[in-house]
Parts: sequence; structure tokens; C-alpha cells
Amino acid sequence: MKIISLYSIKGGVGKTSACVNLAYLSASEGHATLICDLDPQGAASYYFRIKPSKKQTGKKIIRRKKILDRYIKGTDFQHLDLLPAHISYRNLDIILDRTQKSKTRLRKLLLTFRDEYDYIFLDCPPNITLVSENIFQASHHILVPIIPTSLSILAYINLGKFFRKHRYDSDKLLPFFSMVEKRKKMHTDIMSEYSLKFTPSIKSMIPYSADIEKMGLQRKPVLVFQKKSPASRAYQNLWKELKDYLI
Amino acid sequence: MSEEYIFQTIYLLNEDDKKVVKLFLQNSSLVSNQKRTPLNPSLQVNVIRGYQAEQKRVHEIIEKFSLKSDSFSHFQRIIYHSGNKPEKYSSKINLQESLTVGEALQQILLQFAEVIKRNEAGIRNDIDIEFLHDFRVAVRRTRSLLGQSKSILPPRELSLFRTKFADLQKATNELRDLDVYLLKEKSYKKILPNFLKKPLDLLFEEIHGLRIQEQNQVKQMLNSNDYKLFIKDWLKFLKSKQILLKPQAKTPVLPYAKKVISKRLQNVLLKMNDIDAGNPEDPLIHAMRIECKKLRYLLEFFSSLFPVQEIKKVVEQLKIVQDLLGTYNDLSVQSLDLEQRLTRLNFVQKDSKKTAAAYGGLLTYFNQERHMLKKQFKSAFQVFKNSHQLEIYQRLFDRKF
Repeated sequence: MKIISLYSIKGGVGKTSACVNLAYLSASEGHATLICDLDPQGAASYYFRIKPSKKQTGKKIIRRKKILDRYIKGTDFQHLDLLPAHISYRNLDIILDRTQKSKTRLRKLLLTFRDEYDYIFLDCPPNITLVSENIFQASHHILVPIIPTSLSILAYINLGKFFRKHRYDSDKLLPFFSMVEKRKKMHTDIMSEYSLKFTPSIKSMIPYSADIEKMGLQRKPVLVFQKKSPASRAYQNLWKELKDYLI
Repeated sequence: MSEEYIFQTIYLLNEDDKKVVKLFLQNSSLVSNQKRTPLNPSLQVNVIRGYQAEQKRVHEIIEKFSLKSDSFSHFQRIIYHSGNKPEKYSSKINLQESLTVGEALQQILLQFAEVIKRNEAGIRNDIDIEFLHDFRVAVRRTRSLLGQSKSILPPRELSLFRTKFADLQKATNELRDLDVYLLKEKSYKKILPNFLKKPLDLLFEEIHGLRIQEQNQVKQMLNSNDYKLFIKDWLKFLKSKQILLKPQAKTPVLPYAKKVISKRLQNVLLKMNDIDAGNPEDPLIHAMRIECKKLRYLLEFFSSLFPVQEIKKVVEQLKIVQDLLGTYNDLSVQSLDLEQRLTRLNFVQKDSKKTAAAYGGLLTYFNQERHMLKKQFKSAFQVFKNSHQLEIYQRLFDRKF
């Protein structure tokens, strides 16, 4: 079992769409796949038309691992399950802080699914908190979407610094460009300047695309309703590259 | 007369248009002389993970409209994604002691014929590999029993049906082997270090492709007139009086059961001694496995004629031996296949070095496992043939071992 998280300090960079589509691709190849929607906004859950059950709260999930099992829901797609987000996750930090070994808690919980899933995708909330540190510990690979703008790059550089300072394994970080608009000169400039500096890095980039935005209306992965669109192809390439790291 | 099945999958959506319940509808009809008689349709309600409450409601509604719940049992075994395990196909056969040998044979063989027919549709539609498995088990049991029936059934029919069933088994061998192969994917990958896992993807892709072809072949076979006629003739024969006519067929069943079981048991015990004697070769172990299987079937066919507790103990001990032999055999078959693949490997292909290394890794592992298993044979056999067990056998089957 491999745990892959989609993470960025900044919000609105295409995290959730990448998570949803990559997980869909994984499942469509027959891998037992789980998405954990850790973002209290619950966008990933929304894309799969899944609501959390009323009794699900962050507190229960962290404290009792068996209970996690009960909240997992099957999506409309074979081999793909989802643990929906819950609004109570906004307090996840506080709850985690009260547990023992607060930074490796999530890792331990997810390892209980070792035999059940081949891949677990974490859709993470945008910030650096105790939740994110749990995510850094738990993940085998951390995919970081970067919009080719100065601020996004800066955020990524800061993340790298944070990793080094706190001695997390920087090799886990896999940055890729997201929401790329080829006709914007600034985007192409920044990409040519930085693409070489990031190692290891992913060459596939996800274009800015109306099809991806339509996911909110369709409530399906873009690969389901626009299989041949450039966005879908971009996710397929990204998955192909990611697989080299997973095996 | 033949049965025709139509399958339909229906999803129920909630207010968010999310699929929450999967319904599996089966319509069957009897077809004879261009006349079609529809039978009761059956409905299977499948859970989608996390939506148990919705599933329960659907159940309630269905019950309310008095669709009887026994219409479900037909398809219990297709609870596929539900997380509930399919209901195990039962090998229980209830024989009355007052039956004659012929009547008992008739009852058992008809039961297997029923299993064979019931699994056809599932194989045709490739719903789950369990259908083929159950189908094959029933075929093998039928063959095993036919092998014991020389003095009971008319010779011409017996030899005809024995060849037919052997062909049927052969026609499905390849598909079952591929199914088993695909089941191994995860465990193979677990054995190998990470950098050798990728070459296995190529292997399993190839096997997947082969399986699709093979599945089509089996489907065609099941749809062929030859097959349909054969099953029709078989049922006709089973229901006819021919099966009851020979003098041996008119004798009571219990002495017959004791005789055939003790003969098999004797064979098994002798082979055990052979294996115990030295370092056994694979053919001997294979022969032993087959012998045990035959014994197991006989015990199952006639178990209802013997005291429950004692016969259960015998089966349990036999099962331990069979599991060891079965695992050993699987490893041998897998090793043989990998060896052949290794010799065929073309070193011009991409990743061929890694592939060779991966095969090598697996072969070494399998070999070690087989050695470990061989060591376990002795103690398992010892339990099976210790003096206490031998006494039980004698008591049950009226013969000294």
C-alpha cells in the first residue's frame, strides 16, 4: 500500500481535481483505491456526490481506528472508495494535539488499511499545521501542484525549507505545474526558469481548463465526462509519471 | 428443454444522484419446442459500501410488495461488491440408509448436474470466477463418482459420459489456471523487492489478455449445440431407469459406500508410506494429491450414512493433508510456468533483465517454500495414520487398515 497526498500551502491550485482524477485512474486500472478527504471544505467528497454520515466527527476518527472503516463509502466507480470530509475536521489540529504521538497518528491509522487498499490518496487542507505534519509523516509521496506564479513558487520554496528544518524527507516532494496557461508569458517564463531547479520533479503539467472547472457541475472526474479533453490527457500523463515512483 | 438467463444491473440513486444500491435482476425462462415459459424473476440487492441503511430500506420495500425473500437465495452468491462473502456452495448430500446403490448414485449425480447447470450463466457472463470454480468442482465430483461405478452403470453409457465429462473438464482447465494465476498478482509482488515489481506488470497484462481469449472460448463451448445436447442427454440418462437396473445397483448403499471408501483409504495410506520412505518426487506427490481428492469426495458423498462426529474428524484430518499437498502443487505448477517463461524470454525486449531477475527471485522463493512444506508432510501424515485414527477407520468402514 502506498499513500500519496496532494498538498499545497496555498489554496485553489488544483489539488482536489488532481487528487480525484489520479485516484480515479488508479481505480480504473484495477487498484483498490481510497481517497481520504481531509479538507473540511469537502470538495473531493462533493465531486463524488458523497456526504459524511451525521455521526462522523474528527474526534472519533482519530481516537478509534476501527471506526474509520465504518465511514468509508463506495463511489460510483469500481475499486474506488472515499472517506468523506467532515466539518469537524476544522478542529482536527486541536484533537491531534491532545493525542499521544501526535505527528504519526494519521500514519498509524492509515496503515490499518494495508491489506485492503493498494493506494490511498489524501486530499489535504491548505496550510501548515499539525494535520499537515501528520500528512508529511504518513505519505510516501507528496504531490505539490504549483501555479507558475511568483507567489506559488515562493510557497513551494518555503515548504522545502520547512521540510529541511524539521527533517522530513524532501525526496517525498513531487512538485508539478498546475493551472498552466500557455498564452501567459509569465507562466512560460517561470516554468522555463524553475522546471530544472526542482528535483525530483514531474514533467507533466495540468493546463488551466474549463473542463476541469465543469467537474463542479458534473460532479464526476473530468476523465469520466470529457475523456479525450487536454485536461484528461494531462492527468493520464501525470498518473503515468507518478506510477514510476510508486512501483 | 433449456434454461435462458437475462441479467440486468440497476442502480438506485439518492437525492444527489449518487449510486447507493445495486440491484441485480435475473430473468430466467424455460425454452422448449419454441415455447418460452418465463420463470419467477429473482432479485439481488447489493450493498454499496457505506450505504447499508439504504439497502435495508430497499429490502423492506421489496418484502412489503411480497416478493418472497426466497427469490433472493438464487443469487446470494453474486453478492460481489457488497463486502459480504458469497454464501458457500454446500457440498452436503443427504442420503437415506434405505436407498440402493443405484438410487444413491442417481440422487448425488442429479445434484451435481443441477450445480453444473446453475453455474453456466455466471460463467457465460463472466460475473465472478467462483462460478467456473463451482462448475468445475461439480464436474470433477461427477467424474470421480463415475470412476467408481463400473459395476453399476451400463458400460456403453458410462464410457461415453466419462469421456464427455473429461473433455468438459479439459475445456475449462486453461481458464481456471489463468484465473488462479491472476489471483497471485498481489502475493507475487509482495515477495519481490520494489525495483523488481514492475516487470511483473507485463506478465500479468499478458495473462489478462490470454484470459479474455480463453473466456470467449469457454463461452462459445457452453453455447454450442454439442454441449447443450450432452447435458440434455446426461439429465435424461440420470432420470431414466437404466441407472437402477444392474444387480449391483439394487444392493443397499451402505456396504457399497464402506467398500469404495476403504479401498481409497487403503490407497492413500500406502502412498503415504511411499512418501514417508524417502525424498519424494513431484509425480508421487501429485498422485497422492489426486488420491486424497478422490477419498475426500467419497467421504462427502456418503458422509450422511455415518456417525457425524467421527466422519467429521476423518474429513478434518484429510483436509490438513490436502491443504499441504495443494499448496505444494500450486508452487510446483507456478515454478514450472515461470521456468518455461524464463526459457522463452527474449533478451532484446525492454526490461528483460529485470524480468529475468524477478522470475529468478520468485523461483528461488517457491523452491524454499516447497522444501519447507515437504518437511511438514511427515507430521501431518503421522496424525492421519496413527493407531487411534486407524481404529476409527476400522470402526467406520469395517475393515482393518
